[in-house]
Amino acid sequence: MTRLSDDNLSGSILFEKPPSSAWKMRRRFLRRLLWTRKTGGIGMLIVLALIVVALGAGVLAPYDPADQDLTQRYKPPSETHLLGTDNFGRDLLCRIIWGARISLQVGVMAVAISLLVGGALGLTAGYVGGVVDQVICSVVETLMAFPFLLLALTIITVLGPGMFNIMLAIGLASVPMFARVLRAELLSAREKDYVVAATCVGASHGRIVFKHIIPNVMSSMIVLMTTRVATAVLTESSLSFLGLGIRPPTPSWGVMVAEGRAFLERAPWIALIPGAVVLVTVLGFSLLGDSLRDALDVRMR
Amino acid sequence: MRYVVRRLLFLFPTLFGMLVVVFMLLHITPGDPVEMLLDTDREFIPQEQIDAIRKDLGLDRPLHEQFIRYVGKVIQGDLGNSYRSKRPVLEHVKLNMVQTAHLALAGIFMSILIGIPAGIISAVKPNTIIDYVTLTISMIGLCAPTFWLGILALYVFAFQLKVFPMMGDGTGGGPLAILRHLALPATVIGAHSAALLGRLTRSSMLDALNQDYIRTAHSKGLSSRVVVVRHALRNAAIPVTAAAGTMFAYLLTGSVVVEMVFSRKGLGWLMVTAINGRDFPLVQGLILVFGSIIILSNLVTDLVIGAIDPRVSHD
Repeated sequence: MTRLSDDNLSGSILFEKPPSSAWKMRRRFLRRLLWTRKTGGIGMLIVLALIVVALGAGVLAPYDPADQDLTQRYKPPSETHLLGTDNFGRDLLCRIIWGARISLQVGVMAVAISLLVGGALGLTAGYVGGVVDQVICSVVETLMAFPFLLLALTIITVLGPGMFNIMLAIGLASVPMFARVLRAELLSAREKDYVVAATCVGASHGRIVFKHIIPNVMSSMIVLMTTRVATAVLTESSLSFLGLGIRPPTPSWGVMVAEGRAFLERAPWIALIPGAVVLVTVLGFSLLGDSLRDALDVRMR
Repeated sequence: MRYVVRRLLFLFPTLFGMLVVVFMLLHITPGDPVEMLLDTDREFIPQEQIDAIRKDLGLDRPLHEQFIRYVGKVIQGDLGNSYRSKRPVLEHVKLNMVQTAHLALAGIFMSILIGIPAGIISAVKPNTIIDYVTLTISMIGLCAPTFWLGILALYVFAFQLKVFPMMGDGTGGGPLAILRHLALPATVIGAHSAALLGRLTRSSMLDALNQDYIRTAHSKGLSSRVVVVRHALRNAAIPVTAAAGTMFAYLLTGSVVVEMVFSRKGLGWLMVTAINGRDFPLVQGLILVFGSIIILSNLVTDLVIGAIDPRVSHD
């Protein structure tokens, strides 16, 4: 049948029934992710739909998001404007579609920043140990005592509003979390036999970290990243709503709610629909993250 | 006792770290403080005057000296003056504190009122319709953006049903008016914590209900109500209390959003106005106030846990 790789062999003889191929293993994983808890399927569906919408915004959106038509202001949802129009006569659906791109961009970039900075800090602390570990740990512990939004607000005060700054602020505010989880994962991975074995045969530090440790902390990183995208999207929309994040006329969902607030009595859809979209997005990433945690069997704290 | 001392000692690095961050805030933000204070371009001010103000503020000293001076002032309760109003920051904080305190306390009340009973019901009848409904609602509560919940509540209860007032805080209208104005914002700010509390209560109750002592209590003939309340709930209370500190912190930062939605002039509203107006001393002061409250509430939670759970203080 299929050729067994070394990893498979060692695992198969000693422990459980061997998955006969990597493909089968993947299929088993997917089934666990999507079926064991149905919510995982729902989360996956929402996230995939968002990615498609964000990537295809230019094709999917029926009108230009900045196109103002002052004769078509405050129109309720209808056939020509599926979700209605706002106070400038802009099509709400188009703005929400383009908003998906903004939200995901901020979410993914912010998480990438926290992974890069937090990952570097956590790996250094866990691998080097000693004084370096103590210093990094105490800084991280101190920062973890403060709520996420307060950290993000502090950073935004220094940087000022704007799309790039908001990514940076949300990303940096998540750094302590990433550093802590990666350090803990690394410490447990370092004790494992395969790392000890690699050290014994004289593998370099770089080889041990990148070839042996990182692949083994991947699953907890994937779970953490998925749930942190949810937090990042939520925080971006909150900050933009407060006027401290993305500025109008960029179609961020938070900005749209803030703008629609003044017309709540006359045209409630302007504020209520974009907010509901934020809810669905956050729900999607959270459900996916929770199911990934179960399917990958990750235990965090 | 050793646990209490150790926990109190941990207070100092945290407070110190916060002071460093807040102090650096003023020094890494772009813009000259002197210029901000005078509200005019510096070309119109004679150099001697600028130097005099600099010296007065201590800006000509080395950074570590400035930091020591700053810490000394903070300890004496001097948080500097606002750039905009020129009044002491502490005065602003005192003025707006009441609103946020009302909101936070009412929020805690609402989250306990909703969260804990929901969690208990879910745990006592797991995997039933009522459990699924509670879980779904709590998931939505966890994911819904607070600003949207606030606006939705305004739309439904203030615009459509007209049961609650739309904006303001009801000061001057007596306690009843204050409560009426608090109802919506308190529910909105407490929604997230209620959801969290519900899930936490459910899982820790399920844990507790599976223990041997519950079976013993049942078999010695106690009614199931007594078993649930006196045996399970008491043990389930520990993890729930442990999360109280985090929840309180979340509630406090939630005030930033909720006060903007409901136009309540509290600390969160002050914070957003200060950041927008680049009023750095005010922002600094508010971060210190928020941070200190959070550090203190974490401390109180840990001490309470140490008191009710003998396992914690012995290791």
